[in-house]
Amino acid sequence: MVSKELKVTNEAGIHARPAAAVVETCGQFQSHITFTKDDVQANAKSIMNIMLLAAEFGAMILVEAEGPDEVAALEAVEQLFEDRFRQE
Amino acid sequence: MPLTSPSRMVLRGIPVSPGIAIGPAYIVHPEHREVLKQLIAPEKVESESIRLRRALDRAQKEIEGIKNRVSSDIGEHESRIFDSHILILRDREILDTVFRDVRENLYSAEYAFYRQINLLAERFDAAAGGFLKDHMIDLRDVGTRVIDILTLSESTQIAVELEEPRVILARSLTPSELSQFNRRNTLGLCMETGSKTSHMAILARSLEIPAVSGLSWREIQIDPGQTLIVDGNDGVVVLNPTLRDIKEYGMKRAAHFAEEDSLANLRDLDAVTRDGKYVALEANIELPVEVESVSRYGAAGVGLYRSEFLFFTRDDMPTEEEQYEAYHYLASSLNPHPVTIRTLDAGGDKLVSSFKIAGDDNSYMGWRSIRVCLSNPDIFKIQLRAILRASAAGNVRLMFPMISNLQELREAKKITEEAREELRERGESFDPNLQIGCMIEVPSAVLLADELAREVDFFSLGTNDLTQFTLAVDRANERIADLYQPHSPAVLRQIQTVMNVARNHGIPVCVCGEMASDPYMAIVFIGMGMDELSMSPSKLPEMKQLTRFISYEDARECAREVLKLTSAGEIDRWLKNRFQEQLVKAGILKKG
Repeated sequence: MVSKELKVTNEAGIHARPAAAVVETCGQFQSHITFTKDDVQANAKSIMNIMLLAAEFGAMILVEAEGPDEVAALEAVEQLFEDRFRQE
Repeated sequence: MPLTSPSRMVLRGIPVSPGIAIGPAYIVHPEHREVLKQLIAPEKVESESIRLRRALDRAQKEIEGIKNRVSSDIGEHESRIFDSHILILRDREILDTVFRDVRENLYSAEYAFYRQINLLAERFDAAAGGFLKDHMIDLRDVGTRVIDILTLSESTQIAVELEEPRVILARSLTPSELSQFNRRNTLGLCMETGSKTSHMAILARSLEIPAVSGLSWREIQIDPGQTLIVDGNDGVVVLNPTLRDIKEYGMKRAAHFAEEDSLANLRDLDAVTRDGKYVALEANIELPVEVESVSRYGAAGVGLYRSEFLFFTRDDMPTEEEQYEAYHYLASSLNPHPVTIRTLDAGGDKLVSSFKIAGDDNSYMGWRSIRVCLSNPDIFKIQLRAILRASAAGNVRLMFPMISNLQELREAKKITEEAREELRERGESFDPNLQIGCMIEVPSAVLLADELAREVDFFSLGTNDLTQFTLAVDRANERIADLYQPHSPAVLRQIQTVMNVARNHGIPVCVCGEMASDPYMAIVFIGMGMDELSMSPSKLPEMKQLTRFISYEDARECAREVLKLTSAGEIDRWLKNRFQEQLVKAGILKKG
């Protein structure tokens, strides 16, 4: 398993559209990917789960990936955070 | 007393879009749908699961259809919200539970789905800081769609294509929902929510659908298909009308159409006074789709495009490309007529979503408008680049709102110059002679008009704010509503001052506040020598008629006299005495 803590840097937080981007990105990998915020864990392939994290600007998210393509998956998620969920 | 049927009912609401509609009701959300717990027989599990799967497929097709329609009618960005709808629809976590509930608990497909959406909605509601409140609508939207398909209720079938003319009743309706109905069969609109300035109201006006909002949903006791009357002129709705009502409103409707027709004939005529003074009558618009009404009502251009409406429909910033698309569409569609784009004029929350409205920060005198833009030059530049690029395609004018001192204007122009430089580096083209103007809506700007005029190409008077700042009257406060007097000599004298300064500097002045569409005030403005009046497009034919009816000579005399008067009441009386009879005779003002 690989993991990394990432910070939400888009000003609107992970609302519907960024959540959709997360689910789309994670859906491309076989690995099981989770986002954890304040002890709440979410399946990163479920838009409901991701939205319910209510991750606002500045929130710290622990991203964990486990599976055959876990390294690539984590890299893709990290890139997505860096790109501010491709919203701007 | 005429006999009335017992269920006849007259409701009063807010008239948000003029016109009269009579027809059978189409109810979008009959009530908050409640699905009762239903169990299925164990041997039905397989067929129930198939039924659910088919409903999900059909819901996805519907959502994709709406997405395409919104994308072409409204915009690519607005359509993207439907991507999240599809992801919600296909959400593993939801579907796993729903299918399990069908299989193991023998819940009917609709109950299992309904229950899961409700549970999630509760969690959304409880989520920290109201973060998800806005998205409950999306969740409910998806839930209702699937349940409607499963229960074959009327709404999903007709929401896409009305087969016969109907009056739509909805608790609330979004522009994308309205766009699902075919315009030809949409007679009128009744809603519980939505002010005159809401997106929905603006869209209804530009589509010319009579609409009334602010109705209490509880009071609307009507079954689908029953007749009702919507009077968007007076904000009246008559449920189960009598024959007499139908006759009366039928005549009103015919009169409304006749008036529209006769006014439409004015479209191609110039707004010239009897003695030859030309006044540019322009349109105030909020959405690019209003281009249609701008030409239909024969506007000489757009005197005020409120660009902030691009920002209101969403929770993030529109990109440069998206803004460019909107501005370019306006500029190229209306070329060679001018399109005056006012830069973002809204509270700070619209530009910087991490900025939370706290206390009075969002008041009229707070951190808003040009102030927000100047403190976020990088974000401001995105809009400026988009406007500059659009200027290559037509006659664009750039306008800064809420300028209260010289420094702000210089700063805004400096940032514009930087945006130009960036575009040059990118090799993008723009109109090098783009006209830059500023709004005069703060009394300090009136006092500094002479200095400001040296540095701009035009002035635009925002009479709403100028009135409230001059008189220190908050428009929203009902207790002092009688003190909000746009006809006050204090306001009119400021306008005259601005006019004089502008004439000395040879720059044009436009009035783009509500006052411009008041017939009496329009006479005063024309008399002061105002070059342009800008107002909502539907007011233009009436104003053109007025302009062609009066003489500049009379208007000048009128302005001179009015400026000598010392109270709003005196001014009102003087104008009525002098012009009321004539205006009624000419059909510009109604009696009474």
